This record gives sequence, structure tokens and C-alpha cells, in this order.
Amino acid sequence: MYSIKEFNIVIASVGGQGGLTLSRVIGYAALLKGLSVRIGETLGMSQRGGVVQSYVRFGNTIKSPLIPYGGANVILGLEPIETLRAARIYANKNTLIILNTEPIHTVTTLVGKETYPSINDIISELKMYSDKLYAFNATNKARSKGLPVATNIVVLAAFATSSYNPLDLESYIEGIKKFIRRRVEDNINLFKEVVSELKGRVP
Amino acid sequence: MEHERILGEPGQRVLLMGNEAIARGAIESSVKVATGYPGTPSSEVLMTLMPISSKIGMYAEWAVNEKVAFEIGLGAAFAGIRALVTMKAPGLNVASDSVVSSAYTGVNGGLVLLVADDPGPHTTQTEQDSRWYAKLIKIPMIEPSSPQEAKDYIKKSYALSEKTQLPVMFRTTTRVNHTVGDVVLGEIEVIERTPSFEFNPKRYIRASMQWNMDRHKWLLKQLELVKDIAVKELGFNKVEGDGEYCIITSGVSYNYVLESIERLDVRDKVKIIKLELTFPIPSDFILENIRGCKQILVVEELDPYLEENVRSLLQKHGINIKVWGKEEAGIPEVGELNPAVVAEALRRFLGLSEDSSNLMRKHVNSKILIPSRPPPLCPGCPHRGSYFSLIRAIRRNGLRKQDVPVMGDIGCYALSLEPPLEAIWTEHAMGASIGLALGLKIAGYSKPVVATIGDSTFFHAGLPALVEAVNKNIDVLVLILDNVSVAMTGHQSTPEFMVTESGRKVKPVMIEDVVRGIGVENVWIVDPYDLRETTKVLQEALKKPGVKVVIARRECSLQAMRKGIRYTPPIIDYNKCTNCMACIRSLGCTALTIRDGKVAIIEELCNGCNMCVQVCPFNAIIPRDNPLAKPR
Repeated sequence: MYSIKEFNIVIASVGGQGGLTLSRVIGYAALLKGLSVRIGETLGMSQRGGVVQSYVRFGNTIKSPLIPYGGANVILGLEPIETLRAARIYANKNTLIILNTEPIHTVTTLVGKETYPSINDIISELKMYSDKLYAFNATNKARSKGLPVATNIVVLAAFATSSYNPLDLESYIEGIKKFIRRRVEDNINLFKEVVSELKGRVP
Repeated sequence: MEHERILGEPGQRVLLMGNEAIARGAIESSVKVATGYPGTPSSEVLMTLMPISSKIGMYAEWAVNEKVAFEIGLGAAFAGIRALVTMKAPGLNVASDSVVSSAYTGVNGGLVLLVADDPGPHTTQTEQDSRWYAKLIKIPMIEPSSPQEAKDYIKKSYALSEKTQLPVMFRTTTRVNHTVGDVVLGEIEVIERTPSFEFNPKRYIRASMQWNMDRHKWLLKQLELVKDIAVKELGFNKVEGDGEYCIITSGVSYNYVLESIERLDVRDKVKIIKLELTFPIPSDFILENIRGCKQILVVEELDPYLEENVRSLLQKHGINIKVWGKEEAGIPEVGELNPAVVAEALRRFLGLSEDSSNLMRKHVNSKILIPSRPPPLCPGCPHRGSYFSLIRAIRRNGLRKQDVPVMGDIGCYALSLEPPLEAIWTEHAMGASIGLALGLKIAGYSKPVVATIGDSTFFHAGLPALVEAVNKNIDVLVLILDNVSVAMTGHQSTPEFMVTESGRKVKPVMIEDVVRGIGVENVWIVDPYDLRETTKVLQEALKKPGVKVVIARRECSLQAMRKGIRYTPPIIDYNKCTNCMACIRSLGCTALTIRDGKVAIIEELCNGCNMCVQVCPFNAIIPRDNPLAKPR
């Protein structure tokens, strides 16, 4: 029997990137291991393009869907400034941060009311919280495999290769089968490919 | 939401969202009629039931508003059939007239009224604490704390409802409705009943004041029964631990209490009294369990509802134990609770020293200002075209934007408040846009006033106000934003549908027929993707006296894309593009971005609505498809 006291994952994303789906995939993988699971989320009102934070928690002692401040074991960042937004609240010095470096502008940065910070500045600040950081352009990787909306699966694959990952690859694949609705096989192949590409690179 | 999870075998452990668990609870309880009105965070209950309803012999459909929904549920329960009615907190305000009287009639078949509150608030106009309603209406209230309890307690609520003949209010909050957790499925009860209805005027007619007093007495008697049945027979409420410091809590706050105890490592000091029946207050249960308590901490979200009840209970029984409530423990009435806030309250209550284990959010000292990300309208959203055209029509008519109030209403289109459109001036309550616009005109406001309202919101509560406008012949322009869907809450059906999500064939009620039928003479139907035509019509409508209705009809782009309707995205001719940003500045479409300093279209987000093509002053955005030529 699997035993984990408490494992907390924050998924930082923009509506439409598949952050919620990713939380279900990971939650299902944990369920298969017999762990108690809680998934929560904080969403705005829009269907697309708003801030989306999902929380996946599993283990034997967890009850609530919310992660305590500074309590993330892992932050899966699907978008740079959203990752920073989440890290400021949930990161601690041991948090593994996986960062997709492809920015999604906000309405305010597009119309010039606010400025989108540089990726280097974002990475520097993230490193102040934790040096367990892996930054790469997951969206480009997904695009290059012909699945531009599968950024979430690429980030999951990066996490799956990490020493932080407490679950096995097969469980994630089962989760993908259960919660990805379109082009399931392509998503699984993408997941496997990225896992073999990134093996040993993620802390 | 595949069927196998919801209809799984007893004993199976599955991952369910709180609302899916409630749906499963209804299936396990042999509910035969389920209805409601969409509203976050309550919608997924019916969304889960509808696609499987015909398979399991259940009627599961949306109703036109919460009041009608409740009346349908109550009528079924009169007939001895188990019914479920779902709504978000403001929906209870709409339904309340019928709900209050239902406490006097009571029910025969079990009736559960799901009311989903939204502390935070995440997606609601107020932080209404609906628990007071249970006290006002005088019906039993049950509060679960997790998806598993949500399922199990629905089942027990039907038993409670039938044993006491009262409707049961099942009160949840966003963190219960929208939390996904592991749930062990239970037995599906099979109850076959033939609907019947007795002629019993004293019970069902509220026109005799004597009968009303008699039923009020009956109700109070039933409420005494509730405490006994809920606590002793059905086992609602829990006590954990044996410490001298007692914590009274309920709902989702219970989870934060448990985790805080764990974190502060104070298990042997405390005793948790978890209330699940929160109206009527289970006084005997509380009195019994606070024996030996030195002090009491009440942990609850929003209003001091439990706190006031506990204080009055202690006072009534002459018990002198210090109560730590909102003020003493520093538990906010505004916003939702979280583990850190509760841990801090617990620390104070127990007199522990300042904690160093980073429970509270730290102040961040950074040079980066994270840009805000206001929730935008989606790419291809027809509302963008409607509001863009409306503002342009106001200006082209020689008026200033700040002279013409545009009343908003509840729905996706309220997101037009964000830049660059910044279109609506109010967003108040379902259907209120029209009534508020009438008030402005009746008060003597001299410039034109516009009410903008969605299709489903119009049917829900806008219609009576439009009748008022026609009857009093008020100068008002009503722009009905018909995206053929209740989009914001997850694309539920509206009365204009021909087939609902359950597969039921229904008779479409078209908005144009309704508005013409009540006597509106000036009615136009436009396609909001056609900015030129929409602007022209709105210019004309703004000038005419009397009641004018413009229906801007175009299916929600997300819903259309799910059906496979997607137009080829336009391309930018960089020989012509001057990077003037007119497209981005006037539309704020999130499929438009800046890549390497140049305007670019994100192809995977663009649905090809071609609005940007129409606003480009240099004809630099080249269409590759014509959405206007294709039927919606």
C-alpha cells in the first residue's frame, strides 16, 4: 500500500490551457494508488483567458481542497506570470517549480496599460524562492508535435521525470485515458516522448 | 463526466466533484424529478444528471428560473415523488416566495433544495449567507463538508424530509460543490411510487388565515421532531477529540479546523463539535457535548450564524463559558476561509506563541509588478461585436459614451466591463437591467438609456420588466444578447432550444415571438459578427421613441466550436499592417497578441469571427472565410 502523508501540487494556468484537466489527470493517478485525493480550483468568471489556479492534494491526512501558504511541493506553471503569481503564495525553498516560458499576454499588457515582465526577470524571482526550477518552452514542444493545446501534457511529462514525482508513469497514462477527451493516443505518445527526452534534466 | 463514474457499482471508489457526488446521492435516493436554474457553483448537479436521466427514469431539466424550478419540485413532492431542486444563493432569493409557503404545506415525497453559497465570492454578486433563510423559512438545513458527505447526506436528507414532511435545505459552499475527491459509492435505492394528490384545503390553501396559523403551529411541532430524527435516528453531527478547548464548526471550515489541529499539533487539547444539522440548531446535542469545555471557538465562513445561535443557547441555559467568535478569534466575515486563517485563529484561541512555521502569507519584496489578467470575453464572443457596435452607434449618433447609461445584467456579457470595451454601467441582479433602465427614464433622465440582457436572463426575470416598459410606454432600448446558450455557467439550454441536454425534444420559445407578442413594435434581429449592420440598426433604434428591442443573435463561439463550427482564421498582411494596434485596442480579443513586436493572430485560439478584419483601418487583416454567409 502506498503511503504519502501529504503532497501538494499547484497548477498555475490561464483559462483554456487545460489546467483543470491536468488536475484531474494527476488526481486520478493518485486515486489509483489508493490515496485520498482533493482537487480544488480558483477561477474567475470567464470561460477562457482568465487566471486559473488548481490545487491537487493527495495523501493520508489531507481534508481540505486548499493548500496552505508556502505549502506547495510542486508548482506546475503553464504560463510565466501565472506561475509567479502562484509561487509568491505557495512556494517554499524546497518547492519544485516547472515553468513553461511561453507567455500569454493579458488584455492590459496588449493595450499597453501594463507591461509583461521579461522571462529572465521572472526566472530570477522564482529562483529566489527555490532553486529547484526547470524552465522550458512547453508550448513550442507541444506545437512541434502537432498538438498545440497539449502544453499541459508536456508539463506533466516534465514533472513525471522529476525526483519529486511520487506516482508512476502508468498511472498518469491511465489518467490521460480517463480525462483527455480528444486525440487520446496522440497525447499518450506525446507524454512518453517528452518523458524520454527530458529524463535526468528536471530536478 | 462519463456515465460509468456516476452509475458505478456500490463500494466502488471514484473521483467525483462535490456536485457530481450530490447527483449520485440523488440517484441513490431514487429521485424522480430534478430541476433548477444554472448558477455557479451549483450547475454541475443537473449537468451530471441530464445526459443519463432517460436511462434511469428520471426527469432532469432546467427550468426557466429558480421559482418555477422550486414549484415543479414541490408539486412533485406533493404527489409523493422524490424531487431535487438546485440553485445558487441568489436563486433562493428568486424562489423564496414559494419556498416560504412550502414550510406550511410540507411535502409527501422527499424534497431537497440545494442552495450553493459562494464565499469569496468567486462568481456571485454578493456574499449572501443563505443559512439565515433556513431560520426565516423554518425548514431543516443540512451542511456537508466533503464530496463523500455531500453524497451520503443527500440520501439521509431524503429520509429526514419524508420523516418530518418538510423540504430540506441542503446548503453547500463553492469549496464543497467544486472540490473533487475520492468517493465510495453506495447502494441505489429503488422506490416505485404512483403519484397521487389528496384534496386537503387546510393544508394546501393559504387563503384562510386560521388555517395558516394552524399550519404554523404544525410547522413548529415538526421542527422539534427534526432535531430528534436528524441527530438520533439519522446520526447527523459529530464529535471528535476530548480536549477542554471546544471548537464548534460546520461545512468546509471543518476541514480547515482538522488540518490546523494537525499542523499545530494540538490534538489532545481540543474537541471538535461538527454540526451537520444547522437548522434547527441541535441544542441538546450541543449542550451535551460542551460539558467540560473551558472555552468555545466557533469557526464558520461568512456571517456569525452559528456563533449567535451558540451564544443565545448558552445564555438561555445560564451557562458561563467564554465564546470566541468572529471578533475574538479574528475570523473574517468577508471572503472565504483557508487553512492559514483558521490555524491563526486556533493559535490565538489556545494561547500559543507566534508561529514560525510560515502559516501566513509573506510579504513579497519584488521589482516585478505582475500584470493583472482581467477575465476577458472569449475569442469570437458575439457579445464583443454587440457592445463594440453599441458604443460606436452611441458616438455616431452624436452622443458621448458617458451620456448613455448601458445597464448590464448577469451573464458572460458582464465581462464587457473590462478594457477595452468598458461597456456596462451596472450589473445588479437577474433581469434587473430593464427595470433599472425604466427607473432612470421615469425619473426624467433625458438622454437615451440602454438595457443589455442575455437570452436566458431575459426569460428568467427580464420579461416582466419588458411588459412594464410596453405598458407604460417608456423610451428604452433593450439589446438582447442571444448567444443561444446559458454560456457563463457552462452552456446550458435555454427556452429557445429544440432538444435539451437530456435528449428531450422541446418546443422552442423564440425571443422575437415573445417580445412581439407583448406588444413591442420595433424589433430587429441582427448578427453581432456583422459590425456595420449591427451599428446601423442600433443607431436607428437609439433615435426612435418608445420601447425598442434589438436581438443580437449569434451562437456562443465556444459552443459552436464544440459542434465543429469554426471559420478559417484571417491572416495579417504585414505589408499593410502598420502595427497601429487598432484591432487590439478596440476589441481586446485574446486571439490577437504581440509577437516579436508585431500584431499576430494565435491560430489555435481564433475562431475566425472576422471582427478584427472589419475594424482594421488599413485592410491589413485578410479574411479567409465568411462567417456571415454561413448559417448559425
